[in-house]
Amino acid sequence: MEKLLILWDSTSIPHFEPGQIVMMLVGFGLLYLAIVRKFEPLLLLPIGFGALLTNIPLAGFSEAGGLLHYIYYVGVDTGVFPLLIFMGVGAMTDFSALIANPRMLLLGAAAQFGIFATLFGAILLNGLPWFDFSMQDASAIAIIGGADGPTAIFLASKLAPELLGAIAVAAYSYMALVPIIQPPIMRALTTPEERKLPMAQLRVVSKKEKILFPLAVLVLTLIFLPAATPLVGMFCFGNLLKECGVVDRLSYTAQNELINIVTIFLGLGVGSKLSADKFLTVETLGILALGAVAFSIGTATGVLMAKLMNKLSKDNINPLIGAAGVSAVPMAARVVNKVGLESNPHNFLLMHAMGPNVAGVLGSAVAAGILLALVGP
Amino acid sequence: MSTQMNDQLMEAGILLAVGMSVVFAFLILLIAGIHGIAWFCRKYPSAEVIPHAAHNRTIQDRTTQDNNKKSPTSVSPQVAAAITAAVHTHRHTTLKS
Repeated sequence: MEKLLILWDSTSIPHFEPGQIVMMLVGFGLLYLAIVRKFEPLLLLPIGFGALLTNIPLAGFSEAGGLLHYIYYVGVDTGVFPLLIFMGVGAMTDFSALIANPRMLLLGAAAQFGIFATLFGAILLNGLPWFDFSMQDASAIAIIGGADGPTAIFLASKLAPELLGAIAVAAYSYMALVPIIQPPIMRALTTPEERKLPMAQLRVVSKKEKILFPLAVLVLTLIFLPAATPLVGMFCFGNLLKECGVVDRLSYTAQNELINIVTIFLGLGVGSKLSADKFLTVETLGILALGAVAFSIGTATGVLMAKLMNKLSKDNINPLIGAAGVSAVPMAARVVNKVGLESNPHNFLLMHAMGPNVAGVLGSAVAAGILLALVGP
Repeated sequence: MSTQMNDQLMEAGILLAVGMSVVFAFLILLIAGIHGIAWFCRKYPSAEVIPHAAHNRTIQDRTTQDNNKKSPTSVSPQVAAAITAAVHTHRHTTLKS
């Protein structure tokens, strides 16, 4: 009988706490979203599986000596994994649309308003008894509005590591929900005539321009905003690998094997933060709500900026493309194209929307650098 | 509203103003930088071959040198002229002048 009790005690069943069961259900929920609904599967699948592993009683995945513990501290806590992802994203990004029409950077800038406006929301939530967000917490939450996963994880790991799991899940969830969140805002802020506007064809961009672009971005960043150079620098490095044309092997690795390997570990590392004591809090609900607010405000200000630019410009600027300024590459640009085609079946806005879309990546990295410089440790 | 929250809201306001100003200033500088790069590349063009232009030239060469042996992918000058005229007309009718 004693042996049976020892055997029973060595199983997980008597050690399960209710919170762990709930978090495992959250993990299964993330796996469902990734596999069945195809919501950001590359990240949500490893995050969901990491949530399962970290909540297994007795396994000690996230305790000192556990695999997920090391993965988190080597790659996420140090900020290395998000930066390597950014390098891969840079190697996959084509800036032609932005270089051909550089004014689109203004849309990428306007859409960052969602980040800074959400700071107020986070502070106002402190008026409720369940919340106590510091300015660093508020900044880490607000960056969800940048709709850029690596940037959100990088900033959260620096400013509010205890909120990292909730922030990462919110950021990737909202990026997956772009096709649902953005179109109503885009339609509400534009007239049918505006949505039909065709735009002039973009000029051809030379190879030399594409090579000089990441170098120019890097020089401007290191002079004026060195706090943003980890993100922007790795992004530019990846892009230069792609555009210079002399290191195709490195470029290929950065945009394939390396980013895939890092994505696996980043997802598992973030998943390890989905433990019941950190995730099952009222603060998580607040973070999810604030993330949605940040994302919606960013979309709205991008569209409004595009409307203003259309009024002032002699060339047509379809206001819908402003919504792509929130980043979320390339999903936001695809949504712009889809909403544009609904109004005018001959109006393909995809390439025009890629300009503000990649501008949004730079804008959110710059915004993260500003927050790091102003409220960082 | 507590004094601490007031202070935090004030700080958030300053972050909003400074943050958006710096984001806009940085990206406006980048716009100027991109225009500078474009100017530089126009002034000192490299000897790169633009695939699109090269393709057009190949088509022209083919059609002028060997009119009787057109490959299935070649385009006659008349068709090319008709397409150009149609695109020109479309742009003039649909875009702002």
